[in-house]
Amino acid sequence: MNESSSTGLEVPEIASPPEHSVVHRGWVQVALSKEVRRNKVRTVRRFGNDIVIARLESGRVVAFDSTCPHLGAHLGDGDVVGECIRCPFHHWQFDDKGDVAHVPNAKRLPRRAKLNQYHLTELGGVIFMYQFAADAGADAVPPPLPEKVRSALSNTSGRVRSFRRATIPTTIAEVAENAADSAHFLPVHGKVFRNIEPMTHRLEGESILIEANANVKFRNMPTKVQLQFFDPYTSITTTQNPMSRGSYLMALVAPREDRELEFLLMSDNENKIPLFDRMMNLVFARGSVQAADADLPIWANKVRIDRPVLSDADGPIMQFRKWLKQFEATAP
Amino acid sequence: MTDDAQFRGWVHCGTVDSIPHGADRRLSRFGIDVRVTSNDDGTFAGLFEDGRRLTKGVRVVGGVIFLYHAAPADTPGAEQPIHGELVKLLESHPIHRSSEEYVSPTSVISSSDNAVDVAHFPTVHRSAISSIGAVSWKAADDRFEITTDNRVRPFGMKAVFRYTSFDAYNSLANNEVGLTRTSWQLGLGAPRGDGTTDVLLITGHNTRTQLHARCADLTMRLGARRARREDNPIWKRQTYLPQPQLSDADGPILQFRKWRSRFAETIDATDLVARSTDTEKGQYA
Repeated sequence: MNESSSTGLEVPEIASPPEHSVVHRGWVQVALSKEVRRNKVRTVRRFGNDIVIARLESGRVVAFDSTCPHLGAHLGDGDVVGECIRCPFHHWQFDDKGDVAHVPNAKRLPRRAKLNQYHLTELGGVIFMYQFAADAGADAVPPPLPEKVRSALSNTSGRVRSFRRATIPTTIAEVAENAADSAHFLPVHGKVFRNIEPMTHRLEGESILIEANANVKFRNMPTKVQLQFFDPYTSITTTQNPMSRGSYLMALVAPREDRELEFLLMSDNENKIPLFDRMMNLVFARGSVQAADADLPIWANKVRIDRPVLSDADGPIMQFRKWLKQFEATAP
Repeated sequence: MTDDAQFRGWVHCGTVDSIPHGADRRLSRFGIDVRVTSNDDGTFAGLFEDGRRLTKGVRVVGGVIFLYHAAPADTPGAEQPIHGELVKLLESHPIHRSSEEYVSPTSVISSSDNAVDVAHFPTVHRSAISSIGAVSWKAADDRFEITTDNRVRPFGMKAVFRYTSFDAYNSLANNEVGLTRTSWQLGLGAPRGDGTTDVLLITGHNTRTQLHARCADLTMRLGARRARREDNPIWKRQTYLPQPQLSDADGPILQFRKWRSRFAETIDATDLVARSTDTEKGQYA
């Protein structure tokens, strides 16, 4: 509940539920395709759990919980046998649905032993896992990746693409909301921006599009920044200025722990002047990581306030929160 | 049940040889800092703060120092005696005896489960064991015993492996094959309190000659080291499952866990004495 202070201003309400109790549904990147080689198993950390990803002999990629239901060995230490993942401990094999397919020397298969499986999709060199809400049900089918994301990932012809990964100690809500907080750009990211005009926003289907005109410090270049969030984990930033040459940055953010995010930044550019365009990609991705570095000291000590006191100079923060809320789901 | 500290019993604090006269040794047992002192008069003392959990100082049997881990509700001084066969072996004088200490990256309960988990022998330890044959087990009041007929490499020799658990922490292994036919190995596990275990292996050889004994000792030490190297990667990332999904190819894991539960804190200490002496047995083809 809010209280009134003696000045008549509303006292901001500190977030009551701990942030880790809230997860968001959506597609979460788990690995680059090239990191999961055929007949190999890889372990990734997502939402505080180990998840094993394997590429079967057919080339299909599957993902399961890491604990073998037999005697608790970590399947990340296992291997792939044909179309099955094999536990390192007793060599039990589980098929692409997570059902037990082979137990050495057993007369009958223990059918109750089943691995919890995750829905995956692989596109444009990236493997995504769908995070459901707890009440989604075992037969729930995830929606397809957002159309613009599919299109961006699929379109590789005549373009140059590079990936950069970074781990940042904060939460998904903080990172996402930061983009809508226009008032922090000059104080925190003053090395990049000379000025920034008020942001506008609009909803496009399930996504939110935030736009602003700014002048960057480099040659005082006028730049139009467009940031589109498709869900809490996926956004595309495009900048239009004389140097941008159709480039965009796709940020794929994945929670590893309660307060640890893995960023996979994909910069994509026209490949007309190869060396220059590759360099632009590098500058773009590095700039994004450096921007996050500037935010880190603030994120490390800030408290999330449910009802912040805002001024007319702030960006569309509450609108962004309202948009984000549609993805909230209780932890499975 | 995932915590080693729930079990009563005698846990080792190393050997008397590991502490010079007048010196002391610091250890962690169940998360409690323990200082074992070697007095000038040849006696040993254990110093620790939690006198309820670790009771009555230390006891030395056959060169091994022990502490008793009790449950909070236990009456002081009501500890069970050290198992007679353990005492007998520790105080025996085989022609050759050796000991080795190391830290195992898993809990005592996981490593003792491992000994009755015969299905992992030909998978994890396939460098030594090619297949397993008949398995029989016996859960008596004072011990749990499992016998496995293994085929071992390189020639497919038949090897009878017998594992006897005396309590939650102390066990005996015999591997009746080749040079080690008359050898025995005590495995004494002591929980450090951080999920890892201080293990003391004591090996004795009742052979006719010193040369035979030393060769057998070397064989057993190398075998144990290799087994550790093979088990450790699994143990480091294994999760203890209270209700595992088992198959008909598994050993008597649940029977062993049930037998071990008699040492659990939730059972009244006096019940250990009053418990029925009925014996349960089982066999696998």
